[in-house]
Amino acid sequence: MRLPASLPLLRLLWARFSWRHWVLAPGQSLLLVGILALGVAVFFAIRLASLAAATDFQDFTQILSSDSDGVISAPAGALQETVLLEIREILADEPAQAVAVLETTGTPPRSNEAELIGDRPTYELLGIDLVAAQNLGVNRRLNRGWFNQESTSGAGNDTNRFWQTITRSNAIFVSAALAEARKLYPGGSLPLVLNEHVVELHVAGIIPADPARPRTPSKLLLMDLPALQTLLERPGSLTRIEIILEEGPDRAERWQAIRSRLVERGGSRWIVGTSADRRASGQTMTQAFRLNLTILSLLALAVGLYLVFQALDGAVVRRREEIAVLRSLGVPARDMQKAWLLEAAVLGALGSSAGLVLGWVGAQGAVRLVGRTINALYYATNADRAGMDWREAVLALLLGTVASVLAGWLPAKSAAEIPPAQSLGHGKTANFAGPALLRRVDLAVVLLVFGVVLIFLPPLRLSGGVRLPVGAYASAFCWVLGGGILGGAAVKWIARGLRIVFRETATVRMGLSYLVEPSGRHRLALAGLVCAVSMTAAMAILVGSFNRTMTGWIGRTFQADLYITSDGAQSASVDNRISATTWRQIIAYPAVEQAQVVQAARVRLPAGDTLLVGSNLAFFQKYARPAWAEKPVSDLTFNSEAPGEAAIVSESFSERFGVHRGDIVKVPSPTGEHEVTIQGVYSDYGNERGSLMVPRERFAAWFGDEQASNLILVLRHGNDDETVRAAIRRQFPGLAVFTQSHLRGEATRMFKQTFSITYALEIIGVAVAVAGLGFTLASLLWERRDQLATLRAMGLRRRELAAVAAWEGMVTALAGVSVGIVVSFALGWLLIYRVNKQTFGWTLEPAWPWLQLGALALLVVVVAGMTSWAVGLWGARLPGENEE
Amino acid sequence: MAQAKSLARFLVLVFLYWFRCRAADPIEWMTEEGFAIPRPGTKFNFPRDHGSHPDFAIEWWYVTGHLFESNGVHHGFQVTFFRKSAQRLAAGGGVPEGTTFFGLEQLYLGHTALLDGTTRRFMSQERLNRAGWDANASLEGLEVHNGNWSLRASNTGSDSMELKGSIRNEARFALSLTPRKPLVIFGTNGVSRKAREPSAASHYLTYSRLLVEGTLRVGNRDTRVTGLAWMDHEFSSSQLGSDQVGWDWACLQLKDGREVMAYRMRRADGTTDPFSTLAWIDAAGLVLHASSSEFTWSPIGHWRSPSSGADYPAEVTITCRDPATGVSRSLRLKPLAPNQELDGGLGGIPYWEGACQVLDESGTEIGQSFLELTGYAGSMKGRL
Amino acid sequence: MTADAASPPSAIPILRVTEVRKSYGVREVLRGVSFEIRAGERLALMGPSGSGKTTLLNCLGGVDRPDTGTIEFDGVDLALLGSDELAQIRRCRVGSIFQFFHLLPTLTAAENVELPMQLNGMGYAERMIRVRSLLDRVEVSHRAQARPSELSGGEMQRVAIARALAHRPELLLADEPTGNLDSANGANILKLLRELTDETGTALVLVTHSEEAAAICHREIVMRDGEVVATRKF
Repeated sequence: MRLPASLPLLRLLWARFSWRHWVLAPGQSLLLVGILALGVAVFFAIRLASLAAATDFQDFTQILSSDSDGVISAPAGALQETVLLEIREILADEPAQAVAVLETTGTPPRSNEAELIGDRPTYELLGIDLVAAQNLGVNRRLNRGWFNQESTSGAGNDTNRFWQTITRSNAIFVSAALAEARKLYPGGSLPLVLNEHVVELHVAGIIPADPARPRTPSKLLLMDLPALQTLLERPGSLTRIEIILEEGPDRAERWQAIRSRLVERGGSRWIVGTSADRRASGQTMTQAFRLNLTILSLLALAVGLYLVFQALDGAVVRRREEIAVLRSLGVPARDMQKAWLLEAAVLGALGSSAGLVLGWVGAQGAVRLVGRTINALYYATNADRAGMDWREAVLALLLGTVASVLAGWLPAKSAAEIPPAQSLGHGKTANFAGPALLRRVDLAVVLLVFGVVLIFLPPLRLSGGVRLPVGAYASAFCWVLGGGILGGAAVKWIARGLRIVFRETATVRMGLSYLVEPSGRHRLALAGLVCAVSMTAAMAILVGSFNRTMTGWIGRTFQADLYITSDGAQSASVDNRISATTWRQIIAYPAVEQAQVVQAARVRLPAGDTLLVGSNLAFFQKYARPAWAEKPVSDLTFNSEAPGEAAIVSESFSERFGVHRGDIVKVPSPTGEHEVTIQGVYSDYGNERGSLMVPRERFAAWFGDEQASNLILVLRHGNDDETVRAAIRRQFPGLAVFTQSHLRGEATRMFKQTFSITYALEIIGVAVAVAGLGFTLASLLWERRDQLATLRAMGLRRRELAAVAAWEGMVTALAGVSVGIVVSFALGWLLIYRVNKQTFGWTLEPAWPWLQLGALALLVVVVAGMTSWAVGLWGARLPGENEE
Repeated sequence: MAQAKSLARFLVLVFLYWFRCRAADPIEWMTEEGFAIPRPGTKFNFPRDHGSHPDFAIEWWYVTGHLFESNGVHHGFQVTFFRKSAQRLAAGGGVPEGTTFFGLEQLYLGHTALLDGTTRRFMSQERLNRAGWDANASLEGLEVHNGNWSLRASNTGSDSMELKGSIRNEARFALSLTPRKPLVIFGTNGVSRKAREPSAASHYLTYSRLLVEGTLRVGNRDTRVTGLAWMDHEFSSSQLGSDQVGWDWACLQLKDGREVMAYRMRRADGTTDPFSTLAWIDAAGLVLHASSSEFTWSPIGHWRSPSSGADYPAEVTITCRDPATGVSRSLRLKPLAPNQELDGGLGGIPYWEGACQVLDESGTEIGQSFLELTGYAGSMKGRL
Repeated sequence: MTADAASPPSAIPILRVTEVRKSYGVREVLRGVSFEIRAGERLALMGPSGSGKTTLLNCLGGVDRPDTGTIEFDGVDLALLGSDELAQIRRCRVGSIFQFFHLLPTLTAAENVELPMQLNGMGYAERMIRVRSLLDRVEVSHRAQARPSELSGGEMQRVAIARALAHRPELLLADEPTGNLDSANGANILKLLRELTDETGTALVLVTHSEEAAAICHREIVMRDGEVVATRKF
């Protein structure tokens, strides 16, 4: 006997049924596609945005020539340009170019005093030898000049123009994109805060671009290297030296030979890496952050799929008769299942494709948000546009489609289980069983216990000091799943209990009767509810704890009157500083009683980058009032005159590098390595890469430099902080001066901003879970339409039928919320004591926001009741199955 | 090259047009900008005067030569180090500021070229650097470098020099140059006049016969080479006259142990400037100058560059009286390959600088030469 | 209107049912039913509710399986076939008519009739011709583009009959086809069934309560409590 021709059959089923339904109810199909698209879009946008922000380590050489072969940088502080002579010797006869780079960031001056931190763009200002730059590949090939762009000068020939350009003070070259956007053409100027000065930069030309190279980042500014050194008061300083070899088949080998000579000669004085290393370090640094974002975005996708599942399941229920007839006409069960899976796949593919477009658009917005966070926490990034990454696109497309097929799996299976029409209407309606897993209460207990075991797993330590709390994540998964299963059992007990209470009310009893033996559909909806409620409530607990901790920390830490920093720095950048002349002038103000001068430098320890801080430890103890994770044994620690190489470290530092009080740390500096002994570990929520603090005098001696990154002032009694602030701002317009109250406000605001996205996700999560419950009830009522007809025939009114449904929904929600809240306490504990501690090294003070949790529970139950009421009203209108 | 563009092309222009009729008081031996003017009777002091002379606006060390492999394959090569002072060009401006490592007082432009004798492929590269860590010239002796290209006096105490050059990653050479004749100082009383104006003059020091030994790498093939080279070291402060559009220059190294140096300054109307010169250097190193009326320079073959479109008279016959015999000689310069144009990729101004054979009237090879042809890639007039 | 006017049924049995038994739990629904039906023959299956008629019909259509006994369709034992092969038989050789018509609500009348032919891979042109002639034959061609919800009960059953015969089945199974129609419509449908089975030579198993319906058949079997209690020839 001939086997059914599957493919033409599928095509027929698609064209005559699936497609027909989509056309007949386009709103519903579009809604489904839209839901999926949103899920995929959130995932894709967040992935693209974080990728763009993390890979924004663009070397200018990438724009001007090929990738550099190697990058030489200092392990601590700046590289001195004298090493160039050594580099020249090491390169010897090799046809290679060494490109010295000095890098800093700058910000336009604030247009009004009230402007918030992080609102202004950050420019990346690179100093390179603009003469030698012309020898780089792109110029050789394009013959594009740097010094012939100014048409206004009547000074005659090109050569004169060159000297005018290169010797004019503060001449910069800008990207074509910036020139276009800001109308910054040659002759124009761009004011920027660099260190404590507002500097007028003059646009001398556009950075020549080769269409074959990566696009010039719009916020990149180029300046002649010695001019930038002068401008920043950092004579002889370099950020790095890039080595670019002439092209050739043996380029990699030649680089290896040079590299080994560089390493041998440099010893601990410099680090030889590659630009890929630099990019990788950016990616490593933000790995945990990006992973968290990815998990959040996957949640969005999961939420979309939950709805798709519910919707497809509803469709199977409604198209039951059609399936039965098709089966009686000889369509095999297998092909029926395939047809439904195909429908899910097409839905997934359409939704994902729309999601890609939507996500790409969203990424352009998200990249700024993500970039802002990375800016504040990790390093200066200028990512203002997310490029299309085809690997990510394919991933998102696959993920969306595959997940949609998975979501369609159970509905398709139940479609295949519908018998041919002959058996219809003879009392044998197959009940939707749902995954058998959801009936296994024993398994739930095992999962909960296993989750407890998992919390004892140590975090996974990745390169660069990054830690991933895998055990905690796995544990959370076990608890949520276990809770989801328990939800089914809980609703049963609650329904039984309530049936005794509401003995006399028919509608309540009717509603509860469906829950005494909850169907697979009920259980699935409950699992969704438990999941959403528990995660939402846990997030509320985390945010509450964070809030309490931060409020306490901000209150303790900001005890002084005025906080001063360069107005050019609004990121984790340590490039913008206050010169010694300036800070000496300020601390000599008669109004100043005490001052803290903070110097900082990024240093590289073997296990990763961290921040070295030089400050007055006694002042720190008195005015920052640190909470001690490990308190110094002796007060001598805070006496800068005391002998010995004492240091204190932040809790993040201790977690990250696995060191504690009494341990010795080797700190690199331009004057060599110095050993310090950790005297104490303090709590800090400002910097997850950790900081190591030594007396400022020692820092200054090690780095041969007195430029400060911050200045903290305590004013003499009777001086108004606003008045002093205004005076300092008048004298140094390039300084940002915050009063204590303003800084506290800003810190709180930025913290809240960081969590605003989590609030949005919470609302979405709960809304979806409740919508899922609504879908479930709709399917249930459709299946019960004969019963409803009977009830109507018995004289029940529509609103009574709606009340039955409302009770059913409300009690289901009640069960979900009860289990969800209990699970959320466990998750909250996990987030506070495991995830945060292990990822960031932050200990939070737990806070249990009872009121908020109560409100959440009430809201979910009430909204679920209302939704069920509405679905019940709809269901009451349904005709009986065989009515005409 | 109507689209006159970049700085560097201008520098090439400046370097190649080496004199300018700018009124300067010859009594003060100083240009308006404060640069020195070559002064008759100057006593040179070596090795110091092999080094840099920042008092003068323009200076170069120019090595051209011929390399032979043991199997007789004949390559031509060129390495040039130009120095240009900034003040000269900073119209009205002061001395630009720079740092020791990234100076702005001097710019260094370099050219390297190789005619691969095996494939007849001509390769060249240009490089521009500011004075500083990656380009500099010593004030004490011969020690000049631009990136990985360098020319240095040997530390053996002899007069020999070490020359290193490369063309991208395609060719590399490391050569020892040993003078076979004493240093020649062209011109009268230590000054070589180029135009009517007294300021248009240079100090022109030449090693006319350098024995070359060293290694040459083309691609990844290393070979030992020997040969002959010519080195000019010239410094001045003045540019070309406005009626001059270019020049033709040649150095000939004859098998009989003598050399000839000749240049013809070309005027806009096509005539030869009377300040053109020819000089014979006899086997002992004695120089005999001939004036422009005592020799002729006749193009006999042309090559049109496909890239620049310039029509170079790349094959010439120089007719002059042989001072040894008093008989008129006809010396024919025949290029080893037609395409020896430096395409001016960075500078934008192409010129022809190539290795030639020297043939006598009967067509017998009697020596080798280098020929330089400038001002053929369109009119240069009005670009200064 | 008697069977005598019809052409005599062929002697070859298209369906042979031997000692079929079926239980649901402890309740024995079929207790050893045997009969056969020849090509072109019309058989009425009568009996009160719960006598096992519908279960028997489902077994004949391969939708349900007997516990013991054999059902041979054209000489092939259905028990030996897998569910795909049973589906294949339904698709190619059996047509079904139901009390509640079971037209597909999203398809037009014409598309409903076309569907079995499509399932059998018939070409487009042939399908269109046949749909037209079938709808003409059941006298609803004027409603060809109407959806089931726009049709009357009689029209729906006519379309259902056209659909059941579309792929030229050898056996037509009808479960109370007039049960949901008024008597005038019911009579018309019965007439149509008789004429069409005569024209096409399709065997018909007609489950019914009504004597009128049974009257169009050549034979009738009366069942009670899962057993054949009477057989009657017209």
